[in-house]
Amino acid sequence: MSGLELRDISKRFGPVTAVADINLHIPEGRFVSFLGPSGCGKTTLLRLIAGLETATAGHIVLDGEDLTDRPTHRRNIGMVFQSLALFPHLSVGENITYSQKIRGAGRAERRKRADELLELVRLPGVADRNIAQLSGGQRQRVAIARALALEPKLFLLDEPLSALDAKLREEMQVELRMLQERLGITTIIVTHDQREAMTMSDEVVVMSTARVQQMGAPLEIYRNPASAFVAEFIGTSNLIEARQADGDSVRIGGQTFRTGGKPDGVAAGGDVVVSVRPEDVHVFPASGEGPNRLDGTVTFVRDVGASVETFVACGDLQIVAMATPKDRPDVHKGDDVKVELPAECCVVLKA
Amino acid sequence: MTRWGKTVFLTLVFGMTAAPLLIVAGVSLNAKKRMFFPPDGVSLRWFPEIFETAKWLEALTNSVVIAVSAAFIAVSIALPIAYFLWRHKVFYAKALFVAGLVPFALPPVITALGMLVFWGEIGFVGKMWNIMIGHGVFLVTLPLVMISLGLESIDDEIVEAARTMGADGRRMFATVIFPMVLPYMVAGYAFVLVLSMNEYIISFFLGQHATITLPVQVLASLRSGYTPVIAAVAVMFILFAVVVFSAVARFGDLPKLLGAWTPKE
Amino acid sequence: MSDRAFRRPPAAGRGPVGRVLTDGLVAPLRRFPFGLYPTLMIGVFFMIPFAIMFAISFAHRTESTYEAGFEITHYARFFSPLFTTHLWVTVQFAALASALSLVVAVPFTFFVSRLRRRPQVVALVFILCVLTLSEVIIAYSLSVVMSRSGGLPNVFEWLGFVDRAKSWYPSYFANLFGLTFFNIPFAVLVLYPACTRLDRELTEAAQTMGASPAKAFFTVVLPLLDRTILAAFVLLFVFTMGAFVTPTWLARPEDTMMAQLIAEQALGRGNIPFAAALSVFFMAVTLVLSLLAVRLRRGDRTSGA
Repeated sequence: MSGLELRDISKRFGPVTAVADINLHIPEGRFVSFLGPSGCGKTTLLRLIAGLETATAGHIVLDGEDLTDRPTHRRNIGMVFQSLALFPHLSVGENITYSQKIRGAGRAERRKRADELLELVRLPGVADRNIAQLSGGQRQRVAIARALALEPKLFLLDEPLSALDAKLREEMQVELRMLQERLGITTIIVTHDQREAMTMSDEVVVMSTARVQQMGAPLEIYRNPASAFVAEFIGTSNLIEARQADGDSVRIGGQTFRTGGKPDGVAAGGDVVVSVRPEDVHVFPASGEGPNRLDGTVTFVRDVGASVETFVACGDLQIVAMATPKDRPDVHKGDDVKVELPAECCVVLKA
Repeated sequence: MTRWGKTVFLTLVFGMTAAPLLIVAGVSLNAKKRMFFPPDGVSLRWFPEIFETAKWLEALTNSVVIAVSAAFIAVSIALPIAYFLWRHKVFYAKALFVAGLVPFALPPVITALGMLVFWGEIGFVGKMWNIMIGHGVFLVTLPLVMISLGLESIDDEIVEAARTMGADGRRMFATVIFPMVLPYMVAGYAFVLVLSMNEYIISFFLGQHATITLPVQVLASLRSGYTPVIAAVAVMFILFAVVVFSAVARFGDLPKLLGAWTPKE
Repeated sequence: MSDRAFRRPPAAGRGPVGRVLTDGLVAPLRRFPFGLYPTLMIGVFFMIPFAIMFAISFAHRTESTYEAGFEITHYARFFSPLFTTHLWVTVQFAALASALSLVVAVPFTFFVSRLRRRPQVVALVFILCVLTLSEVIIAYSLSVVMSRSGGLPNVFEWLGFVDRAKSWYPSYFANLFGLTFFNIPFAVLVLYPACTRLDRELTEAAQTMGASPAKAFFTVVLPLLDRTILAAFVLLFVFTMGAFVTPTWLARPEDTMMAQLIAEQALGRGNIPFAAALSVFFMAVTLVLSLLAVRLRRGDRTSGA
């Protein structure tokens, strides 16, 4: 099988399990994100792939070759570190060609490669500069160029953009993705920023408490979260406790709501959680009657220009609805309203 | 330098450093009055002799009294300097701080000679308090550096918070700063205590055969012929240092005291 | 705050010296009166002794002691072989022992700084115990190790390497080994802060780029620590120059070092003025080298960039 395979990978640090029984297949040329809150094991998993940690159990296989016991320096990977880890005692060019020097490449060859790589990351002509003379964004590019110097089989990035300010970060995300598409290199990025993961990746691996919660295309995960954790971590979601009723319907409070489907293994009467994205929720003045609607009172309106969020208290529940300014409901704080949860947008999850 | 090579190297250095100490410990157990290793018969009889022989007991008492007082003197000098520099970053405080760093940088024999001629000119030679003050001033560098480290780790906003809550300078020192630097003071005290106990040359110069400390007695005894009591004293020294530094490590942040870089939150 | 409230008019006729004294000394002490105590302690018990010693280094030596005077005869003796041979011996031992101890201490400290916290603390406690252990005890321990009856020579005889064991000390190598041994813990503590500041990701990055751990150590760690190591060398050099007990116990008489010479002149021969002159020279060398070390450490690469 080509690509990267993780088979039953576990890593324990003393009593702490950082990564538990992970099985993943990442086909060649894919861009994958490991996404999760801090401490979920995503960085440990990346470091295991890089060989910077030794797995307690399991195997790491790349293109059919078992890498598990191979030391980092013989794995042929490129990695961008969180701190970037640029060598302060070397110039930009020397940093980029460090790996070639280790392999005994001549001066002229190294020079040529450094120029090529700097061209690739759109930072030409800085090869002789000192690292300290570069801006944050430029250092980022140097770190990327350095990791790509040997045309590695795997390109690993550990929260590489976290030190950049928001605007530059978004630019770099797009640029990084385009670069990866051009090179076709199998890439794994670790991030806790779901927007970053969704911007760049073919597939997102959502992790929490040392385990993979869900893996899939970004929109698939967004639309069909496998658990309440995923629903809440990817974007925002209204999570409503409910009870499974007959067929594709649930009971919320005293009312019956139709839903988009039924999770496997939940019988009628079982506890479930309904996830509805804020942008799918509609808010109407109190007179609007219809199915799948709750009564509520507006408690707060957040209008940030590009979007409007309406916070509605429906008994003990708080439902958030989001709309574009064009579609904003004509309601104000204190108004009694109806909230509609469209059936096809109600994703039912096991409680 | 694989993981294996690294372990071997570390073990080798630890082993090499520890070996003489272990051998001395072994020698101290000799049953006969000879310096054999491995020991010829096992006996603990040389340890009580430290407390039973007048010259060893006197040297031990002198060393303890000097170390306890010298450590107090050193901390009492270091605290005002460190606080002065931290609160008022004036040239005078900086100069005082540097003056506190100098004694430790100079070869101790120079300090010893300087202090000897000083006490000689004044007309007190060989008094115990010569050595107390001598050690206190010579070793002031350690508590000075440690207390400064402690003060630097106090966030400016903590001081500001105390002021907004109505603490004046004196009260702030008593309620906020002193408790926060106390561990560093204790660590500084412990370092001076151990180093003073072990110091040879200043004790030798200033003691002038009138006040004899333990290291001076050890070397004198070595010159006049071997006895396993010396090894027993050496073992006591080692144990003393182990106990004090383990306590410092247990109750304080030892890596930080030794200047380890700790990431700021 | 109060001192700013009542600002006195400048005293009439106050010269530049007076101004320096009041602004530089009196004003700070008015703000912080507790500063007087350390000033007095260090001034009286450290500065004044050195001033006296400096004065005595020019004094006239008499039969049993010295009397006031101004002569440079004691400094003139620096050109005699008595002084130059011992200076050369001291410099040799200091340079060799410092370099050898660094060869061990640099990788050792780097590894220790990479240990997890608990073993790291244990290692540090161990190092501190060895560091603070009296030079007397260490020299004695080593002499036991090198002695005929108690140590390695005995083991060698038993193993059959030598026919008849004999003591390995006093000798040139015994002294060099003793000084190196004594320097190692000190070197570790000098290098430790810089080693902890070395970002772990730097060596990891080198490994992802194909450098073996050993290669990473030589191409990344050592170049980053170069100034720190140089500064440590200077500090150790100064430290070793002052060695007294180790050479007394382990060195041959012809390898007498500076500190021993000073002690011998002052206590053995009662030539305090010559000992004082030696000390002044020794102090000047030490201060210059210490300043150099401070300079070097300021340029430490691990702290910036």
